[in-house]
Order: sequence, then structure tokens, then C-alpha cells
Amino acid sequence: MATTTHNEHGGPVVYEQFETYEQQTESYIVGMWTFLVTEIMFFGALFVMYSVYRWKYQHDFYELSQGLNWQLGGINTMILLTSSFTMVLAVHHAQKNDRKKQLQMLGATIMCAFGFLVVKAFEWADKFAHNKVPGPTFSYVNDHGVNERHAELFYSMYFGMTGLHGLHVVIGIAVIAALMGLTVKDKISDYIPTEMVGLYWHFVDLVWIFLFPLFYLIPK
Amino acid sequence: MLFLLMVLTIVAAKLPYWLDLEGFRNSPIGSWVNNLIALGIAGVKALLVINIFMGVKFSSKLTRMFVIGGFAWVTLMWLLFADYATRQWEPVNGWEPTAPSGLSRDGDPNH
Repeated sequence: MATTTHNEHGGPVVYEQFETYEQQTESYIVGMWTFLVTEIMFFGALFVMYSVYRWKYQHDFYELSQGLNWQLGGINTMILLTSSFTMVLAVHHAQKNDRKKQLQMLGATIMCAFGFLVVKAFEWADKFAHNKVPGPTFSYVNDHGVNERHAELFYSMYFGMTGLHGLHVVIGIAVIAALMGLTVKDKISDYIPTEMVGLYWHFVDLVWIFLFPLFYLIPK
Repeated sequence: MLFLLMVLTIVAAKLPYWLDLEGFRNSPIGSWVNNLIALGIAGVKALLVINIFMGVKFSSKLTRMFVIGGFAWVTLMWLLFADYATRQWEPVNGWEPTAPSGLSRDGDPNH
């Protein structure tokens, strides 16, 4: 395949399997959403598992959620919402073909992502320090009548689900960085790659929007 | 708007504590109301992100069909509760909590 990314008029290339540029754009977006639907299923199964145990052990889960730091979780929600907003601006500038501002906004998004991971690292370090990591060293001493096995279950889901979400954040950083690299090298002809990365990033934000109230803000 | 909702999420969850509404917090209704509000706000936030940030509101019908299809299917996964909610009424030989080698029906190894 030809490596050129621009047509003879300097505009974006319409590849030969597409009739028009609009059709090509729609195909990209529907394709990306197909991938996101698989991700929705993936996280959906985990949310269903969470619902089952939350429903069975509501009281224990309430006591256990008191052991999580909702202030840090709230800060992380703010950070991710901000990063989603800068991502929207990046797509906006990409559509306007303003490379400089687009790169600035992508950079801001990456900074937010790192900020999220730093806060997360502090949270996790605290859990590691207090033997809250499921496994042979797990211990949960309390005077609220919380079953230790239920506590281990809660923390397994906490580490599993926030960990999987964290992994998505790390992948997001890598993908955004790659996009920035390609943009600097002028290997990208239109806004579509930025839009794709943006959709992925908003999905990561979306998962956190549900993880936050479900783990940190459990009512009695 | 999203940040407002974000603050509202925390306020809604924490208000019964700050106001010290012991009775409300301990009642099953309070718990339901609190859950519904927390998830309702999360739902509104999600709708805003999907419709505006992800541009679904301005996208083609085909794209919207994929999006709605995906989220509709994921809600169907909660039909799993039809099983979990009815297990206790459906006796199975050897699965009683008191059976010598029976695994506890509610999955609690400490029973």
C-alpha cells in the first residue's frame, strides 16, 4: 500500500474500498464502537459479579468501603473528567487542523492520566502497607462483624476492577503518546486517529464514573 | 455540568452522614434511595460523556445503533440475578448447608 497520507490536493486520502470520505469516516467510527462494545461486555461481566456479592453482603461491603479513601477517589474522578475534556479539545483542534494546539491538548491529557496513576499509586501503597492485598498475607481485623473472607472478596474485586481500569489508563497513555509522535512526524492526514483515541479515552473515563460510586460511596 | 454532577455524587452519598440522619441511613429505604441517587447521577454523567464527548448525539444512525445495542446487551447480563435470587428456594440434594460434604449454598466457606 502506498505510504502517502495526503492526496494530490493536500487533503486526506480516501482509500480505494470507500466511495466517499464520509463513508470512510463512518466506517472508522463504527469500527471503533464495535471494539468499545466488546470492552463494555468485558467490564459488564465484572460489574455483574460485583452486583451479586454487593447484594449478598451489603452490610460488609458498606463497612469495607469505609476503608477506602473517597477523597482520593473523588480527586481521581475530577482528574479523569478533566482529561476527557482536554481530549475533546484535542479532537476539536485536530478537526481545525491546528497541530500545535492539538498536541498541547494531547499532552495535557497525558499529564492528567499520569496524575490519576500517581493518586492511584498512593491509594494502593496504603492497602499494601496494611495487608489488604488478597493472598496469604491478607488480614482484616475489625470490630464491625465483617467476615474476613468477604473482606478478601471485596478487596479482590477492588484490585481486580480498579487494576484493570488502571491498565486501560496505562494503555491510553501509550496510545496517546504514539498519536502525538505520528502527528509530529506528519504521518496523519485527518482528525480520525485523534477521534479514535478520544473515543477510547472517554470509555476509560466512563468506566471510572461507575467504579467510583460503586466502591467508594456505598450507602449503609 | 459534569463537575457539578461529580460534586453532587459525593454530596448525595455523604449528606446523610454529615446531617447525621441515623434513622435514614440505617433504614432499608434510605439505602435504596441512596443507591438509586448515586447510580442515577453516574448514569446522567455517563449519558453526557457518551452523547457529547463521544459525539454519539451528532453521529450517524448506524453508529448509534451499535452504541445502543452494546449498552442494551450489557444490561441484559443482570438477568443473572434470576438465578442467584431464587437459589435458596430450590433445594438440590447434597447441597444443603448441613450436608456432610455439601458446599454451602450461599458460598460462604465459614458456614
